[in-house]
Amino acid sequence: MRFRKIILTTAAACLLPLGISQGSDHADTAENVNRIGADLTDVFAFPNPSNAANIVLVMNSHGLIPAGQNPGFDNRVLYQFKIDNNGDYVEDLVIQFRFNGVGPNQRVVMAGPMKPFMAGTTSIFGRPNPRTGTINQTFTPLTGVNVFAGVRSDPFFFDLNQFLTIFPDRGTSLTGTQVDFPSIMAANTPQAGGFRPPGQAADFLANLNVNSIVIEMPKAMLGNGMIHLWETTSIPTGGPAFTYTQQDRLARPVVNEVLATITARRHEVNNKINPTDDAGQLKNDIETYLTFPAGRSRAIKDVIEAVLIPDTMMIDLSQNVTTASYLGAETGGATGSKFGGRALVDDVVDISLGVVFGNTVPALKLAPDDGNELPTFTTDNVGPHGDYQAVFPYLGNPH
Amino acid sequence: MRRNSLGLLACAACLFMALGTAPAGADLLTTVTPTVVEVNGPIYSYSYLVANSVNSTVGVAEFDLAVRSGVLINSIIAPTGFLALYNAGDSEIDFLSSDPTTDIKAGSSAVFSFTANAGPASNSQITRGFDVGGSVFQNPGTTLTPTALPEPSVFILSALGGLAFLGRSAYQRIRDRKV
Repeated sequence: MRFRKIILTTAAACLLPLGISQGSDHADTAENVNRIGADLTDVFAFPNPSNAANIVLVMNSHGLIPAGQNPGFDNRVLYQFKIDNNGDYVEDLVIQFRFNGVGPNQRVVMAGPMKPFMAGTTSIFGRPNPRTGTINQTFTPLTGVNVFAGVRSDPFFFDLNQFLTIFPDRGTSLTGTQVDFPSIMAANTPQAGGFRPPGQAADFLANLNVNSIVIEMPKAMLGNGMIHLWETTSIPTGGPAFTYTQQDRLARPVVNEVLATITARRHEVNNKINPTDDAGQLKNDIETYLTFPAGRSRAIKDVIEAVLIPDTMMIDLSQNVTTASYLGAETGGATGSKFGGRALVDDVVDISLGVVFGNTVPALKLAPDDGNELPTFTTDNVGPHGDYQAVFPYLGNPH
Repeated sequence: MRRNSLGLLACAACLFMALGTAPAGADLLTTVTPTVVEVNGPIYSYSYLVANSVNSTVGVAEFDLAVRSGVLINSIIAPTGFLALYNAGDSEIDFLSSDPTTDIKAGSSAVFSFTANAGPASNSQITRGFDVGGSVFQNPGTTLTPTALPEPSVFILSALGGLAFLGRSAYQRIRDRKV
């Protein structure tokens, strides 16, 4: 207990004055803090709000950019959208991005959508037909495709400071040094009684920016039925292989971030594996968390694990709609649109907290109510930002 | 004299590396022939003739070179249709064909070049080709790249020369006094 207090005090002293906090996947491991350009923060997928034939994919990275700053993209990082369109959770298509140069004329190099020449955690970049543009300017690499890569207002919203007060383990990586609690259970032990009430809750990200890669294209370029989406960042290995090795992976928000500990590098391990490996890794983290602190029944655990494993974002391209809805494809539209994906306004934190701590699963009649809901953990009482745009690139202008 | 020696050394190394770069792989048969010339003090000009054998079944779509991180590389010139990806501090230079039509076809060759402030030493390189069926073919190997440690600075060399001059002068004065 004394050790934990020392850790908490040290972490708070080091981090809070810097105003740094962890979000959906913001600065989620020490390794990513030390290479912030490779740090994925969120992925979104939604239809064009006025053209159901088009899909928009958003990859956000380099979280916590202060207002007025424009650091550009990390030239030594390969950014990839990965799409499985046959249900085996191995990417059938990739869309790749690299960057070259510095300053306002930094070049964007994009390749795809295409079949990857190497699938999994090792990648090759750039074929066929890499196209180039300039950051912070929309360009059209292919007919019917628009791309924007640049700094934007972070669309994510969350009372992060209170989250870290409850689960300080999740912030221990923010010094750039791995810090372990004495045990996984200690790392998962809530240090506060819940989220703050309306009026006291605060959206930490309201005035911060991210680097965004936004691509809009005809849905038909990705498939015509159910697809699974995730994103990765990878680092060049140099010679003799001249490939890229995966450093971060992200699909559903809040899953790895909340349910896997920094302690014992559980979060880092999940960042570096394929979705096909989640059943042997991330699933164990979810099982542990749903046992304690969530205290859910076996039946509810089974439902949640079946939905969240493998960790990919489900999107039903056959839906002729103009709205997305997080977990909509998995739940037959219970959260809104059967398209699934994730809209900028989706309150993914409350949806996820409701699943883990609330009565979402019993309410959907997917499992009997276990009576173990923790109401003070089911919402962070923070809502969407007001700066989203109705047209491409959809994310708000940078602060 | 020093520059001539370095030039000869570089040429000899080039010849060795050219002969030592053996083709490998089933369908992409390439040779990489480097030429390194010291052009101005510690600045070296590097160029690479990448030749794709007539027996290859795919074009060269990518040519990557490992370099020592921190070397200053400038004046990168790639064949028409190739992108050059390199930023200060990188440990590799990546040349990517921007379209299958600009690949180095079987039986053809192309030259890639740049200048660097580090001398040549053996390091990794790779050529890659891709077929329409989604397979990748590659030939890893070694060649001369900007990898050697920088030369001693002019200041250090001048200081050593000055010390030698002073020592010789002192020796001569002592010898003259004895006479």
